[in-house]
Amino acid sequence: MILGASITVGVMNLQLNRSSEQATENLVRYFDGTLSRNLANDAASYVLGLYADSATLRVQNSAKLSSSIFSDVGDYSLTYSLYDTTINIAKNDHEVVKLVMRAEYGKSVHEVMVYAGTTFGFVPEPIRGAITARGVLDNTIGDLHIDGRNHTEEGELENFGGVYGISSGSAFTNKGKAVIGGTGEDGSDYPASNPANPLSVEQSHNWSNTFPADPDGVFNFPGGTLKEVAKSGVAGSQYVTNPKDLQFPLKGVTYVDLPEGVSWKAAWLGKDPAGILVVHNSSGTARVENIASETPFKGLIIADKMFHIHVEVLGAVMLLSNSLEKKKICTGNHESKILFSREAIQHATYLTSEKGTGWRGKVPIFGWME
Amino acid sequence: MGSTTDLIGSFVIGGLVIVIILSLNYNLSNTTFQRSQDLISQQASVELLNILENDLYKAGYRTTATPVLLAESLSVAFLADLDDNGTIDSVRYTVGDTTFFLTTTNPHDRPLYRRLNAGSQQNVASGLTEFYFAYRDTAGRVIPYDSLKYVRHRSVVRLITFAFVIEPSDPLDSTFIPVTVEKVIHPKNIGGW
Repeated sequence: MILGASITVGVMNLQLNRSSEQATENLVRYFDGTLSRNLANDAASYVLGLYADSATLRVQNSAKLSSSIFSDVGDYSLTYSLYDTTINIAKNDHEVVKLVMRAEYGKSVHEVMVYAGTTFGFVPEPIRGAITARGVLDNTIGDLHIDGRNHTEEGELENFGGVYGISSGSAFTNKGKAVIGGTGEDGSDYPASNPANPLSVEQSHNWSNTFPADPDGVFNFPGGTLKEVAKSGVAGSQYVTNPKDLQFPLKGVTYVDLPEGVSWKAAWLGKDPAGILVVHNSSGTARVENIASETPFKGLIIADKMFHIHVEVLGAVMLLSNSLEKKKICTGNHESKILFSREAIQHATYLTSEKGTGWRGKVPIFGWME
Repeated sequence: MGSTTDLIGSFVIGGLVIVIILSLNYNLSNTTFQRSQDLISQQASVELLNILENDLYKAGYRTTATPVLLAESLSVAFLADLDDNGTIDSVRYTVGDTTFFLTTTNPHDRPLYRRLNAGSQQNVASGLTEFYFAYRDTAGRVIPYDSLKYVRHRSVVRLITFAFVIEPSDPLDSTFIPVTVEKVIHPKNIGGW
C-alpha cells in the first residue's frame, strides 16, 4: 500500500513539476517576445535619431548594431539595414528609406520595419486647415481659392494627407464666395467648389484652451523660440520690426514684429519666398494687408490678422487673432490660391526641428510595422 | 489479551495511515488539477494576448483615413495593412455572449470573435469570461464610449486598452480560478500623418 502510495505521489509530483515548468516556459516565452519587440522598437527609434542627424545615412547590407547602446547585460542581438525604396500609399508612390530592425532575445525574434520620409520636418498639430483660425473668417478670405487637399511643393495634388480647407473656431459663412475644397475628417477629399462641400470646412471647432496664444504655441515651443531662430540668421532667417528692412528672398524664419497699431500694408514677399513667415506683436494685433509675391510662397504663414490676401501659398496659413476683419469683404482675390502642402510645411519646419524636438519632430513616418 | 490489544492498535494505526494516504492523495489530486487548470488558463491568456497584440499594434499601418472604424466597450474595428502587401485590411473584434458555450461547465465563458475583411468571424479566446476595450487620447484621457460613435472623436484615439479575465472550464470546489490581464497598446500608426 505504501509502495502504491509512493508511486502515486511520485507521479503526481512529476505532473506538478511538469505543469510548473510549462507555466514558467509560457511566461518566459511571452516575456522574451515582449522584450524582443521592445528592443526592436527602441533600436529602430535610435537609428531614426541617427538618420535625423544625417539624412545620407544608409546601411545597404544587414549590419549589427552595437549591443552596448542599450545594455551590456542580456542575451540579445540587433541587426538592421536602412535603404532607399518606395512605398505605395493610397495609390501614391513615395520615396522613402526603409529601416528593417531585427531583435533577437533568448529564443524570440522580432522584426520591425519603418518607412521614413526623405523630406524632413513636420506639420504642427494646430494646423487643421489650409487656413486655420479661431476667429470669424467670413470677411477675411474674400473669394480666394482655398484647397486643403494635400499638394506637393510644386502644387501637384496628392491622394492623401490633406486637411480641411477652412478650420475655424467660429461659425463660418462664405460671404465672399470663396472656392473651397479640402479633406474631411474621414480622409475623403473634396475638390474646391462654391458652394463648398460642408465636409471640407470645419467650423466652430472647440479649441478649449488649446488654441496657440502666439506663434511659438503653434509649434508647442517655449515662448521666444521663433524670434530667437529668426535673430540667429540661420538659413537666411531674419527678424525685423519694420518690413522695409526685409532682405529677399525670404527663407528660414522671417519674423516681422510690428509695433502696436501698425499694419504691414502692401506686404510684398518678393520672389521665391519660403519658410515660416511670422507677423506678430505682443498684443496680438499685427495685421498684414494686400500681401502679394512674385512667385508662390512655400511654407507656413502665421499672422495675427490678414486682409486682402493676394498671395499664392503652398503650405498653410494660420491666423491667431480672435478678432479678424468684420466690416469689409475682400473681393477680387479669386486668382490667388491657398493650397495645403504637407511637403512645403515640412521643408519650412525642418529648420525649427533643429531646436531639439528629436527625430519625431523631424522625420515623417509613413508606416511602422511591428 | 496482549495480542488483542496489538490487533486493535495495528487496526488503528493502519486506519490512520490509510486516512493520511487518502488525504494526501486527495490534496495532491486537487493541487494537480488546480495547476493544470491554471496552466490552461495561463496558456489561453498568452495566446489571446499574442493575437490581440499582433493585430492592435498594426492598427493604422499604411492607412490614410481615420483607422479606428468602431470603438465600443465590447467591439473594436480598425484598418491596417496586416500583411504589408499594400492592401488595407479591416479587422474587427467583438465579444460574444455566454450562449455560445452552453455545454461548458463555466456559465460565464464567452467567445471573442475576430473577423478579417469579409471573412467569417472566428472565436480566438478560450475560457474568456470578461472583456472590455477602452480608448484614450494623446493626453491619456479616457474617451467616453458615447462620443466614439462620431468619427471626429475616433480620430483622436491614440491608446487602446483591453482587459480580460480567463477562467478554467471546470471549477475547483465550485470556484473558477481566474487569470486577469490588462494591457495598453499604443499603435504607432494612428494619428501619425
